[in-house]
Amino acid sequence: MAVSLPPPAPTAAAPAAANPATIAMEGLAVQLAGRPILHGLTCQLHGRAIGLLGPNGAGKTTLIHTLLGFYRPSAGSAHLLGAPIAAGAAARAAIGYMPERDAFIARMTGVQFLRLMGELSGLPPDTALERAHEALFFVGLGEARYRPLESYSSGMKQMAKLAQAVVHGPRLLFLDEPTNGLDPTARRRMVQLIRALRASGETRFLLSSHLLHDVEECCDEILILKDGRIAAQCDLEAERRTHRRFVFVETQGEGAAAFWAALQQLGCVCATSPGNRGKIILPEGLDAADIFRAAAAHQVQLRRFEYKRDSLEEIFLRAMNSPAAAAGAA
Amino acid sequence: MPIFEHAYHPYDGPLTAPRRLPLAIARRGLAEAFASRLVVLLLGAAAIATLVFAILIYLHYNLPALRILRLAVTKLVPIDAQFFTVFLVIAAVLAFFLALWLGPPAIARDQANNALPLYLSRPITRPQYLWGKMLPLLLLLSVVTWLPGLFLFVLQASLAGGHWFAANLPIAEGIFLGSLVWIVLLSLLANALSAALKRRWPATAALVGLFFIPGIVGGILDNFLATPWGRLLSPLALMRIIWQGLFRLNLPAYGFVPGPNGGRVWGVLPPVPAWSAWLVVALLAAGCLALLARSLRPYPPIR
Repeated sequence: MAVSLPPPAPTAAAPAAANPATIAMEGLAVQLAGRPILHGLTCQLHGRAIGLLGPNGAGKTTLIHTLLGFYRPSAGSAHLLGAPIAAGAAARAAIGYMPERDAFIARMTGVQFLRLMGELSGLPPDTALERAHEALFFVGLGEARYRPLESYSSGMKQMAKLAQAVVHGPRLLFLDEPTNGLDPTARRRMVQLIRALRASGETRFLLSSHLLHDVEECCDEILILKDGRIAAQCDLEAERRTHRRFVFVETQGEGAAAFWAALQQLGCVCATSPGNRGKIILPEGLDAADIFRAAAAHQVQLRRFEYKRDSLEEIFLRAMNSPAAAAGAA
Repeated sequence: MPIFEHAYHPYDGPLTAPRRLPLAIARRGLAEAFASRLVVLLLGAAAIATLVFAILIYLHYNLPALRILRLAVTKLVPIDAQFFTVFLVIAAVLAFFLALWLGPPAIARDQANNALPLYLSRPITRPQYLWGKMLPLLLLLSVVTWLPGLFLFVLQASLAGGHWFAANLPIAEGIFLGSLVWIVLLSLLANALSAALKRRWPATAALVGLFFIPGIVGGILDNFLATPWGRLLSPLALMRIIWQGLFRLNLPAYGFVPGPNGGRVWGVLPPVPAWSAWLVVALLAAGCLALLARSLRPYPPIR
């Protein structure tokens, strides 16, 4: 017998909307062994690719486990794609999870493992088998799919974990340290796969990682935790868009002065510095092409052209030193 | 999605009803069980035992066969409650070995490979996971206990006639309930030890120990304290008491009893009421469920 999942019920914290928050938390608190781990987290994350950052012991894994229903919140509530986590098993139908530690089922080949995982997510047996093959090819284990999981290398097991998380086509994925223990080539491959998932536009994910570079490459929204509190929440995509108005250039040529003057006439705010370097703030309606046109008109070579961008490391360090985070630590 | 695309595609098709999800685990468990030669051997032994008992029943109603074998009906084992109890004891022993082989690795392997987060991050609950793990064992134990037992009962009833069926209906009830208690207890104990000890062989050893060591301790207690209650420590003695009650038998249990001059002599032990055995079995089952509730967690509890 087959059924379709009902749409998640709208609630006060997650009102019915065409596009509900990927993750919504309202005063979410968790205590483990009587010790508070998460302190009343409140936020709405709308990104398709959310990075979860924080130092060791910040509560990242506890947050993921709580959202998956492994731990019961001591206070507050959370919603995943509009469905309350308190709904239990039903809320997990559209979710995929790639755990941090090695996890597999013994005495199975790759394809048997994924088929079982697919069936447990509600796929009919035939569909589960079909998608098991597809998911293994997607992660690059197509040739090894009939081998026992025990014979897989660490990198292959990591890929198999990703495959089991996506085999049922979830709408939300939890990726807990997906690049842990991978060599540079395998790490690159894993990042490419995660970027492919994002590019597909068909699933959203929460990526927890210590590697800021991985998160920066894959995510468009960041949640930074420190001592169980939210230290920062940042929309990387919006920040990138904002930064597209700030440009650093380095010029060469006799017409540099005329070039800067032309830009100012166009409405740009310019600041030059020694060494033919300068910063430009583009007004609305102008873009990079206008700068190139001005340079060409005044026979100026642009030897360097880059948008201003805060590295994620800067954002992370700022969050760690922010008064809010300091208050959390206190 | 075609595999050559190597791309991610969501799934929008129909989903299996949540109550049927544990069947996927059970199917896998059954496939693994039938891949074992020992399981096939034990199932074969159960089939042979059933065949022998069926032949014994058939001989009662086949005079030409008796003539060929030069046997008199009066010399054959009578088909009564004790006949079926003997069958059930043989079936119970086979069931014990099946449970010993299949039960301990069931959850322990998942625990050892951190598989519980994979199961429980999906739309199944802990009770559903446990149900999926227990179902293959319950099915296989049913195949060697009450299913052939009821087959023999129906065979006897069909040969003896309606009056025998009506007069001996409690035997059928005894076969079914007696087997059910045994197989549920075995499955719960095997899975609880598997989940708690997280390794196959320690769980196997614990299961064997649980069935025999308390019996020895109970015997010692009975002997020294001159009480019949020590028997309640032994799962085997518990089942004996329960089955006797269900089959309405009154077979004496032997042990050391107070003798003349304050000594001990081998004799018939005073009976223990059946309700006390049911109570201990219920407590044992509740203990198993509590142990399972504590052990079946995706990640170990933080202390």
